[in-house]
Amino acid sequence: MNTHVIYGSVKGAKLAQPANAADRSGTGGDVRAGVAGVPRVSAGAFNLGRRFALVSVVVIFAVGIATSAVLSRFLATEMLQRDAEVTAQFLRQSSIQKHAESYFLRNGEQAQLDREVESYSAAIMGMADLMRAHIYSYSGRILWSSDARAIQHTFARNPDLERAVAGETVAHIEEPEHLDLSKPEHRFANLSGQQFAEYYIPVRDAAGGRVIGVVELYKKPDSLFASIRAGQQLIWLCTLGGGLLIYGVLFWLVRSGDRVIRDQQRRIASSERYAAIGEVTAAVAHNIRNPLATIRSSAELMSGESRDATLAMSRDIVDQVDRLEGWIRGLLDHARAGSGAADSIDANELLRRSVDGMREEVSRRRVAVRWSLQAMQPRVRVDAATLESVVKAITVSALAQMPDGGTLTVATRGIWQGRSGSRIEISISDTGAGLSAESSYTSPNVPPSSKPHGMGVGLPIMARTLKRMGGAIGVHSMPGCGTSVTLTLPGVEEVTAP
Amino acid sequence: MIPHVLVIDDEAVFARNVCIYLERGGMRVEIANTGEAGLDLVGKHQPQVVVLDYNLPGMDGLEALARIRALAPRARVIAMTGSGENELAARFRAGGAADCLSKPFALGSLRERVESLLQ
Repeated sequence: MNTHVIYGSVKGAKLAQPANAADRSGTGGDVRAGVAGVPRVSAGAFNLGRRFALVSVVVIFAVGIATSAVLSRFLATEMLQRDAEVTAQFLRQSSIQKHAESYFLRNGEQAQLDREVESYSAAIMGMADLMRAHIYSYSGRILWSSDARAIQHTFARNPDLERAVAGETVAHIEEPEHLDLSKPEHRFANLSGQQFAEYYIPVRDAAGGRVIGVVELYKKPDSLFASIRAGQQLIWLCTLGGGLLIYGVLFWLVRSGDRVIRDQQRRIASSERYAAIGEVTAAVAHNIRNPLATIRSSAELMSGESRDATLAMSRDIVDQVDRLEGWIRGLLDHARAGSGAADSIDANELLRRSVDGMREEVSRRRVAVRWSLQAMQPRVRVDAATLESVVKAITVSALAQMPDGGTLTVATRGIWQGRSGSRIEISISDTGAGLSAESSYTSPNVPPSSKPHGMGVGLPIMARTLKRMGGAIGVHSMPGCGTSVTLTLPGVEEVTAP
Repeated sequence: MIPHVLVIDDEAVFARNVCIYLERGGMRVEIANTGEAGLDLVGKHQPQVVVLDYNLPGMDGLEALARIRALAPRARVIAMTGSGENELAARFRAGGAADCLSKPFALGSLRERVESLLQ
């Protein structure tokens, strides 16, 4: 025999199918998880559109700034480097280079050297946009300068000069407010208030291999700077425009998707509400129609019966009316019970009180009650009246499964879940006939001769009631071996923490 | 031969009323308040007609129907439902029930259907 978990059964209403009949029901999967009630759609819990709007603005803004800054810097560096390379190519022209080589190597007569440096420096100073120039020997001594004060000086620790001596063409822009005065050569030049480009161009020998000196140039290439500025502005504008476009499109997409999701959530909630209404309606119809059938049949028979029999049938009719009234009252009480305030309840005490209130029925059915209560007095945070109503309904149904005796087991267990808090499990089990896959699990009101009093609307409403309290209900039943109903409720942490 | 009818319904007063009415019509009627008790009587006495309720303690009417069909293939079953669902009636008929009534119904209507099945 299979163990079936009955989802939400109401006498006469549709039921969930056991695992081996999953294809019939279409539900499939493991149904042992028990009942969690109707998932509630909380529209305000996570606003996708708002969260996206905030996060995406920050991310797009940050990425845009970083990208624009990187690209701007790259643009300036590369354009400057290209200008430095062009300048280096100019200086490497043989017509200019030939004047400098013996000068750098100091292998000519002084007069010859003076003529050579004059030619070389004239070629340098003839370049466009030039502000200042230094010619360095391989050792770092200034052989010639547009500022005579700097000639024959050797400045210590110039990393750019060292890189140029190593063969690298160095180029960078100096901003007036960030002028590196640690470079001694900057102190000779009156460069304050001007943006300029500084180049260190290695001079190689005729074979083009060995670096024999360095030319340092201070240039103010206004057109180049204008181009760089224009390029950087274009980068920032494109980034801004692209960022806005991306943000706008994504926001529209996300907002549309959010609307679709919310609409679907509303539909799901609506469908589940209708399903719940259907279940309750079926339960109500069944629980009213059975007493009506008895009333009708009794009324039909009264005409042909003896006086005593007629009186008995009249009483039957009255009893059925009372039964109906009691059932409807119980239904209304149950509907109202869920609106009570949650309080800290001793679960053990509540169970003992509920079962004790049915001792006559327990005794009549010769049912033995077995207690397995956690000694730590598990407290639950629920509405007491609601929980008592649910416990009573479950106990009534359990007793109904044992018309000729059996054992009713009532147990409590605390589960500590760490940061999630604690949960209390209440289980009520019987040793009755158990339930088949198609059976109903119900707690109907009883006419005096057969069924015990109860709630009569079954698990669907109990499940939703418990979910409102932050709990859940599960039913496990094995035909021939009884039924066990487990309530899981939020615990009160200070008592149940390990 | 006196027709033999078995009524299986956990609503004891209703089952008694059905019994009284059918007996007035010259039938021999037995009552069972649970599916198991009803199957026991079906096995022992092989009634000609079984009036079977859907919601029974323990097994439900559909399961009881299947087992009645196995125990007494010649017995005709009239199912009774309290919720009046067409789908439930269809399932009873698919399971072999000869007829299906939705409570509350006129006792005369039940007797007519029983007599029809006995013919």
